[in-house]
Amino acid sequence: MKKIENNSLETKELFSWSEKKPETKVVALSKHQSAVKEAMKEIFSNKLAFFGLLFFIAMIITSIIAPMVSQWDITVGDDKKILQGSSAEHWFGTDSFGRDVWTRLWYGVSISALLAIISSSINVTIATLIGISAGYFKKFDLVSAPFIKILYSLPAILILILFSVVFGSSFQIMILSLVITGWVGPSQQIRGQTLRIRNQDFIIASQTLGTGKFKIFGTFFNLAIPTIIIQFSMLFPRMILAEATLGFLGLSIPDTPTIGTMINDGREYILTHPMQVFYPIISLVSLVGSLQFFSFGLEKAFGSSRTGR
Amino acid sequence: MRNSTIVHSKELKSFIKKNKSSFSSKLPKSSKYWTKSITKLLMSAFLIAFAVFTLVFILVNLIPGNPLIIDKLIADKADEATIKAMMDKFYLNDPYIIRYFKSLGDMFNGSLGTSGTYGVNVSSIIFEKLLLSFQIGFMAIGFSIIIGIPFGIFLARRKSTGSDIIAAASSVLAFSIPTFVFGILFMYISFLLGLPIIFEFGNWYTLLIPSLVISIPVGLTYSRYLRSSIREEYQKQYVALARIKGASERKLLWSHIIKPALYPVATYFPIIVTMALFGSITVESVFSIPGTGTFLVDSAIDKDQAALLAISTIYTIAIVISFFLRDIMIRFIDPRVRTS
Repeated sequence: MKKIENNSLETKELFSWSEKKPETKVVALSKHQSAVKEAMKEIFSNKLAFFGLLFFIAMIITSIIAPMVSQWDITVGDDKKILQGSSAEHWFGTDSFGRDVWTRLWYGVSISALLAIISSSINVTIATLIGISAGYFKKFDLVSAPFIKILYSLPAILILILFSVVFGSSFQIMILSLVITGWVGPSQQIRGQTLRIRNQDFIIASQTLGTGKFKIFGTFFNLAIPTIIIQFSMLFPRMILAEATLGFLGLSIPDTPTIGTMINDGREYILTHPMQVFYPIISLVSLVGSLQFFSFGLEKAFGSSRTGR
Repeated sequence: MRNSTIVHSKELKSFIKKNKSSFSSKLPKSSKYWTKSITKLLMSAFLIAFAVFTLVFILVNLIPGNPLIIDKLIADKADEATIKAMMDKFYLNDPYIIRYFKSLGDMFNGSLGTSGTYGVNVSSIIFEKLLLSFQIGFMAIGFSIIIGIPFGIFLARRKSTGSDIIAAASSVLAFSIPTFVFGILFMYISFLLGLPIIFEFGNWYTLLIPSLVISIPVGLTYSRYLRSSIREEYQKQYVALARIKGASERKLLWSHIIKPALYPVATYFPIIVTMALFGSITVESVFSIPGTGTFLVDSAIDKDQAALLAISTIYTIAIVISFFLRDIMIRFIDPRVRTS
């Protein structure tokens, strides 16, 4: 009996088709604006999401402070202390050049996080502008659709590899190649949402009352804020993972420790010194995982679920 | 009471049997529709592949240097006629536009251009590697179905907090652990256990662990789609009706829900295929399997223009075909798309 109660529809909902519902969509605007506040409240009550965020912030702060405080340099190594284990001097041991892994790892985390923050904020900005324009202006949608289709079928990893070969890998080129394909998915999400809102009564009403196009554009922006926040929280880990994958293949920024290059450096010694690989892997997974918990919490709070890409 | 319901359902069945032709005739099944939509989809797929080829051609030709400059020792010693012959081989004497059409011609005639590092046609190198990658890909897809479908059904079945936590944890796992990390972990574990991980030609069981690694994130993604699809089905009214009529939970799931729930998930299948394709790039690198993925990375490090162009084009064609297949499958499975 219990199961039936759980899964079946309530009688009210079962017979909802019989009576005409009052129009609830008109008040969507005022409801939506407080949605951000309500979602924030829900996130702080969601333990998993809250601790994910806390853990992530703690990792970022440590990654900034740890290389500053450390007595070891990230590039200068001691060739007498190669591939050492953990000790009081070197907390995570040393790598194949005798450099301190602890310092390099945290420096790498900060570089990867900086890369991800910059590229995902550029991505979200582009995605918002193009998504709302494509949803609102039909002509722009017609013009941009083929380009988006082409970019959609271009795999991100191919672009990353090609760009690092063509322009040489540097911080700026990494950001450029992460931006080229990253905005396409989020912009489609925002476009879809704008399309859904565009034909609702309150937009048509304000259009007939003579509201300017740009003001309505601003309204769409307001309504897209939850989606933008979710997309940002989804893009950020994806950017970190993209950098790590590229670094793993040996094509990330040279001469700078990032999470990917650290994994690539440690790969050769996996059978003899496994911790050389596992320290950066643990940091990568905990960084991305904590953020994923937060972003799942965000989605739950804003009431959307992750399906499709 | 019970007797009457049986009679009722029998009557209903016979009614449906009698009127089956009238039910099915309402769908637009004309061959005209199919030829029209297939040609339309094929055209757009072809145009996308063409555009991507152009883009990659521009990128590849922006690579500083050419195969002869890289091999400076030989270039200094050789006489002018040899150098000219070599330059002709790589289309370096031609202006960009002619080079573009010549490379495009190479894609069509199947030679795929001359590799800068090996000095032979790319097609003669890539064929063996493609076969190997396909082998891994097929095994990975098999594994991901074996993992994904039962796991998805298991997660969707009960609305308990335990299964919700497992579902959330598995999706966090799939999203936050990249494939190459799974690869490194599995390699280390199987090294400790003494399992076969070192690649040998002809030994298919050395490919088992790499394909299992590729299939883990793919299978978890598939199970997530399936879970949400089954959950959606549970919300529908026919489920409530079946429950009221006294169907057991097991019968409800296996004979009513599973079929409509699998339909939308089936449309994700081509995307799963491409996921397996791109998972293989890093996994081949982890297990040092000489497949297409390692060839791509190697030719990127060697700046082998023709090989890069060829592999990118092959990958793009694979993706475009997968999207094409998905669009066809959606039209085939869901008649509502056909009418609109």
